[in-house]
Amino acid sequence: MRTWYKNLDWMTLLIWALLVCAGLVAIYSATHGPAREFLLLSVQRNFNRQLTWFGISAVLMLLIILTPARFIFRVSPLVYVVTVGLLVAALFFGREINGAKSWLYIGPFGLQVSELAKVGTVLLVARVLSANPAREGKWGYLLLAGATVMLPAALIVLQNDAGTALVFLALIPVMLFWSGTIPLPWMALLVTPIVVGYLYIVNPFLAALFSLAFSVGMMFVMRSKVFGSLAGAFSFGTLIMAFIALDKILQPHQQGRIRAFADPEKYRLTEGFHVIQAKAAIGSGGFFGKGFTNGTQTQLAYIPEQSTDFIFCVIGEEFGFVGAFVLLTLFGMLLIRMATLGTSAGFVFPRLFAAGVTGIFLVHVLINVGMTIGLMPVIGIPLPLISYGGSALLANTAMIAIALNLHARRDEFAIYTG
Amino acid sequence: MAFVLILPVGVFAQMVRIQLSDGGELRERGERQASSFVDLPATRGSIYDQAGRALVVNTARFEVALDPTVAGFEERAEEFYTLLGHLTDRPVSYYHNRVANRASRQYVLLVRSLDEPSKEELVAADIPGLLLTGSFARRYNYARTAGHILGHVDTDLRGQAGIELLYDEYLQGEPGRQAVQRDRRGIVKALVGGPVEEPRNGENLVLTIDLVRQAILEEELANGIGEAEAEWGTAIAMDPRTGAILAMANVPDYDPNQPGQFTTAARRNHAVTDHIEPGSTFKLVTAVAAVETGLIAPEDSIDTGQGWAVFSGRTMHDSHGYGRIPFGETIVKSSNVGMARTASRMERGTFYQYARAFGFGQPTLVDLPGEVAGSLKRPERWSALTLPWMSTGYEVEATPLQILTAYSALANGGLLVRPYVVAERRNVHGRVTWTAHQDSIRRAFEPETAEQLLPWFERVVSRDGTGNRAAVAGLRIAGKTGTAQTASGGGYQRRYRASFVGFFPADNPEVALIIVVNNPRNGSYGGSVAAPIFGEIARRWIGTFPSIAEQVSPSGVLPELTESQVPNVGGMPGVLAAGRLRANGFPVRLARDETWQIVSAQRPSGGDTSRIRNAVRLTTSREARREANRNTVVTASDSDTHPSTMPDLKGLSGRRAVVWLASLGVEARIQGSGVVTEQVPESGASLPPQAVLTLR
Repeated sequence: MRTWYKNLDWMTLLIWALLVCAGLVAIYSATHGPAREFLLLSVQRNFNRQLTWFGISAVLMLLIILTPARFIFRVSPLVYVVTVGLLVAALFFGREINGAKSWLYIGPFGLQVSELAKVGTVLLVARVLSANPAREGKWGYLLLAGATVMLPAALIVLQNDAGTALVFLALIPVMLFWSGTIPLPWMALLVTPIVVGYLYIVNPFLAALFSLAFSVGMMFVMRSKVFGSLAGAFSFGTLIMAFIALDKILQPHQQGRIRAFADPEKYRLTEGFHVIQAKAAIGSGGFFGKGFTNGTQTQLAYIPEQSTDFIFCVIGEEFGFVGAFVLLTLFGMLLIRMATLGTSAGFVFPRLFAAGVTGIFLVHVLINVGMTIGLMPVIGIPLPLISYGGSALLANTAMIAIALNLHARRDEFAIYTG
Repeated sequence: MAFVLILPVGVFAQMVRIQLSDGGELRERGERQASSFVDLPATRGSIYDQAGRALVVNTARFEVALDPTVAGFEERAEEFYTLLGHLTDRPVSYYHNRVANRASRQYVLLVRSLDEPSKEELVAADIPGLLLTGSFARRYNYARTAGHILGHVDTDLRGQAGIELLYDEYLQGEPGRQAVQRDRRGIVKALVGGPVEEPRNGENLVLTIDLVRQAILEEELANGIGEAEAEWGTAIAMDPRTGAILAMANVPDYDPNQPGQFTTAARRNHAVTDHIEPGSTFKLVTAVAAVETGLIAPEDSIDTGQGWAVFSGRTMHDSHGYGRIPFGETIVKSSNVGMARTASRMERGTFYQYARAFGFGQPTLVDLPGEVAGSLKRPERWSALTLPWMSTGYEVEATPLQILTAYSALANGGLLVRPYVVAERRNVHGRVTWTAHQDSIRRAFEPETAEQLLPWFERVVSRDGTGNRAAVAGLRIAGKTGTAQTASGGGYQRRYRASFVGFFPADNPEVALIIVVNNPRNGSYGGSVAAPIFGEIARRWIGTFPSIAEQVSPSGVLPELTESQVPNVGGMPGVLAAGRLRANGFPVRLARDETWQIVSAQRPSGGDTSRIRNAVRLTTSREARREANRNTVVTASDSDTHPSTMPDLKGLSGRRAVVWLASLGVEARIQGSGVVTEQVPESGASLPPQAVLTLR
């Protein structure tokens, strides 16, 4: 048996550090470049604060890695209760920033509780799905896992932060899939709404076509009329839901963003502005980029939220295709690394936790990068480890740290779960 | 699984697409809006005369706009309107209305152009919401003088006429640029500390004209036109050797400072934009062609008969019958019959060739806008009447400048030059960037021909010539009168265009000058209307050409002034005393540190006669007033210098006047700026404790 620190995956640690540093460089450019004079005083301080958060996160990383794995397993329900409790507290005592009431202030110290809730949720879902009854495919456990996710997601929707809630919802198919308890066709059904919803936004006709093909395809593949009609009901149901949601449920600014995504030029001066400017920023970076603090789009403040949600534009514009490619490669490596950490554990809880973390990171990266390059409608979620945001950095670091811990102490774990 | 893989591939594909393949278009888009630049206006170049006097300069102007929604404006609105009304001479209600009826909620333009002192007052008032934008305005220092040459600009300082138009690209310079942020509506929000492209200021122009000569020319032309009660007139003077235009004027004229106040007719530069039938001045072409082809020599006689002759059924008249006279005399007397008879013996092609060689029918290529080429019909389109009539200056059209250029060729021994107005361009540092090269376009005829004909053109200005009224004592002038009946409504009615063109000194010409007077009501002949103007200008111009002046009245003729009366300067401040003495030719001895003290004594004393160049020694004293009073070293008889009465301060600068008064113990209050034009009390009154001086 090797001691835990010999099992520690230094590679992941290195990638984590590199990504945070890349984020610091981009935040520095966005807040200390010529663009500085456009920014609010509070935003100008982002770089220094992020640097502080980096320090705090490193300490947290160390602390978590030093924690025994079984302790983590054991306290996971408590973490969930505490973080979800914070969500509830934020609903009552929270402060509204950018329209979302997801901030809790303790003195001058602000916490974005929805970020912290991710840690608790992934932990608890992993724990629920790794319990033996769930392994045996008991529906109740699966529903419990679903509810574990739905509760914080619902709270976050109440806080008026639909984007973050979406990330939570994405956890359900990812973790269910990874738990291996759900058969593949059912997974396909679960994923269908995402595809149909996306296609609907791009082009409703395409979505209908997809739904038809999906239903017929399912019928032929499964050789079951029941399953086929279920697929049809699912996909066309989503279509109708999307239709209603787009017009009735979503708030006007969300509708606008979705319309602008489908046709940015038409809403060039309103909702499409961000999309076009972000695309222009990244596109104008070219192969090698315009150089550190030399991006005109960034430094002339065409890009909104340059140190948070749209930070990828800064990298794309100032460091070009090369910089963006390196960054995405780092993310790719991190994700693959995390997934590998889980699978190599050979036990369910670490594996599911790693899958959940990977899923969250994947969704974040895809949506964030996707929206800056015009593949996704603008959904205000940050690029993990890169975007400015202390709570997010803390939460993301904690998730990586826990995954690392569970991996490093996998032998310890075996004894516990026995 | 495959589905999960599609997403990163999609992201990667999109990255490649927008950064590498579509990159160019997106980069352009980014640059287009990021290169939202504001222009930093370049200073428009100034225009100087040949002696370096600034004719056109830029002055600072300010646009006053207001954002009435700014907090704190409401309380001070009344005060602001009153102040602005006072500064711009507009009723307060005017601004009330403008603000009340503004189109945009947060912006209203109140004054388009405010001068600097007024702007200072506005700034001092510190009104919230005030938006002052600086710009330039063009100032034509000498108003109407040379207006037609200089032209004018529009409100955006773009050249609209004259030099301002033709040299616009050089005067304009290139505006610099500074990057700005524009919000999504394209409104400039703030300036970025990004790279600034400095404006490249426009080049300055140095003209060939001279302000003094221009002023004389304009004055005499205006006098002449006034006396003749003519419709319009034009005068151009040119150096026949180089083509440099020395002066050019039109009546009526206009003030380029306010071009909109004048009619287009007043703004017209007849000198280059009008093609007129030259009349008798065109006989130069006939004479040169005839003499040079050997058809006739100036001394050969020709029969002008009874003063009329019939050509192809139409009768041509002379003003008198001259009988048989030498060909040269037809120039002196301006005999149409003699010229036409000579021309009739000529080949059409030969005549056409000479007219063409003189530059008729082609633009002179002068650097003034709107020049017309005139018209010279090709021989195949001539009727039987054309040759005789053209030989006397009809059926051909030319600009006054073309005629002047033709006579310059005569002055120049047959060499045709290109007239030009701008001598050089200089950059802001004063370095010459371009110099006009003097073009001799072609040799119109041989120098021998010019030599043969010149005496006859000189005789035009002699006692029995038609241009005798252009004569100036002591100055040899060669020239030719022209009297054309003008075509109006198809036929030739009794409307005339009188002209005189010539050059001086005839033996070594430095100036060629043409006067054209259109439709004079008082007199009609070139000799009686235009020639006197020519003469007056020539007479007054002599002084501006040292070489000609020397010829006309050699300096040796002047008696030498050796002695003069020394003015009394007692009681005056040292500087003033020294100035007055020097003006009278006396050098002054005065210690440097005493220049601002009061003169208590002088030697030789005032009123004495002394040799010029003998220095006057001045003594000053600090306690001037009392000392001067008590000692009366100065024989202070006149009130000007008597220490106990007010001195005459008129014409002095404010500073000097104040110093003088202070030395007398009088406190001075000054109104205005410039030189003293009024003083209270008047000179001679007993000294008050306080005096008020009005400066202008």
